[in-house]
Amino acid sequence: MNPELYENLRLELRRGSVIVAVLAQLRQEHYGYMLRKALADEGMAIDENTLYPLLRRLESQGLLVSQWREEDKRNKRFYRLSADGEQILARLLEEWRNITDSLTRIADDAPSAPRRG
Amino acid sequence: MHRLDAYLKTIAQLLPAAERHDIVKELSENLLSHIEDREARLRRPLTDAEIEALARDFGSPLEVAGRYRQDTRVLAFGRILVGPVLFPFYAKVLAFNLGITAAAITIVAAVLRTQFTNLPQTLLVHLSIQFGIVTVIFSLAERGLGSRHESFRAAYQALLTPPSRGSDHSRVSRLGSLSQIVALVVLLAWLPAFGNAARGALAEIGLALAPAWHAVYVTLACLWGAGIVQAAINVVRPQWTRVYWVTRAASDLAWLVMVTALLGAGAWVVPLGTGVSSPAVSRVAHGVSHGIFVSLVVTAVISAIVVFFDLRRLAGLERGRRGGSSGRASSTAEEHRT
Repeated sequence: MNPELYENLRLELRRGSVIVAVLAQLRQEHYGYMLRKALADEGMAIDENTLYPLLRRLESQGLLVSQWREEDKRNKRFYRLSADGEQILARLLEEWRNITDSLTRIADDAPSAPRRG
Repeated sequence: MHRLDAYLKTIAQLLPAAERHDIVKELSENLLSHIEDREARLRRPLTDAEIEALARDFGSPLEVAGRYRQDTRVLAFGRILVGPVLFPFYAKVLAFNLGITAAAITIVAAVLRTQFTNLPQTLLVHLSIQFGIVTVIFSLAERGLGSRHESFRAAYQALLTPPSRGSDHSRVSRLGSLSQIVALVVLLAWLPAFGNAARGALAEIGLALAPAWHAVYVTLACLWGAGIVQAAINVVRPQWTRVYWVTRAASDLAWLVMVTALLGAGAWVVPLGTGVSSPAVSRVAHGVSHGIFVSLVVTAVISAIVVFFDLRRLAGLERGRRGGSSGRASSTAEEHRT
């Protein structure tokens, strides 16, 4: 197996799901650092250099809203899902479930690889 | 926190101006959260070396800033030659070099007027050469950036990470300095080709450049050489901003002196060969001389304005240095510790 090829395909597979995960996690308000930890705790670790630009992009697309607020004597930027974001998330999750169901069926129906030995 | 501030300032220099403050504020908050988290686990403050390692793990300033760029333009011929991180610098160098090349050739064409018949071809050849050289240099840089060789990556990290010791002064962008080196080296290499093209165009109409121009070649080479040395110094010492501004003012002043000296020379073209010219060649020489005179006067006026602004900026920097030496403690990271 070509590990580099696998890694590229894996990243491609994850790319879309990261957006869904971030939107879903932000149904509850978080600031960047805590959001990353919360996602990592759920098994969805995201590189910081991916997460912060993604948050800005989703905000500029109107899916998130943010607010600078003081917490623990420091100014932090809190993000949460916007009204538009909630609608989009609902549809994305529906699509996600359809894809998962289809993939599960396809994977179950596929003939298993011949066993060696 | 000095290391963290220097790191954030380097990132800030590479970000789009409109979003710079907001992004750096958030990055700063994130890094401080990391530091606090680790300090809580270790039950002691982090050392400078540990903070430096944390910034290094976070990514080189170039990589971090590159993620925020909306500008995702790349140069690709089948495969990507210059990626989105280096592309803005590539575009700047290309615009600078192609701009100077096009302006120089157009001025020669305007001076020679109807005698210069192959302007499109000359422009195409010279612009293609510059485009090719700059593109090759940036493609090699791009390969280094994406290299899997640890030594290459380490060299880039060292280059793009702020030096260990340094103050909070504003800095000259390292990538800007590197871009300046590339632009000036390419221009220096192109200068003889341009000289040959101008001499060739004049020879076609029986004229040659007067000896006064020889000094121009040497002066230009010295000016661009000084620019390369200054940029090399600022790559190693980006915090030496005075070197940058003083060199720039001195170069602009030297340029003004050179143009003024040329204006004083009076004769800018001479008949080719024996020095005995026909009336027709003399008429052409007179027309060409007039064109050169007008170009030099315009250049001198522009140079004088540039020098005025340089000196004003230097005076402002000097005032700021004297006034701000005592209270220069505005720290990006500290700002967020309320």
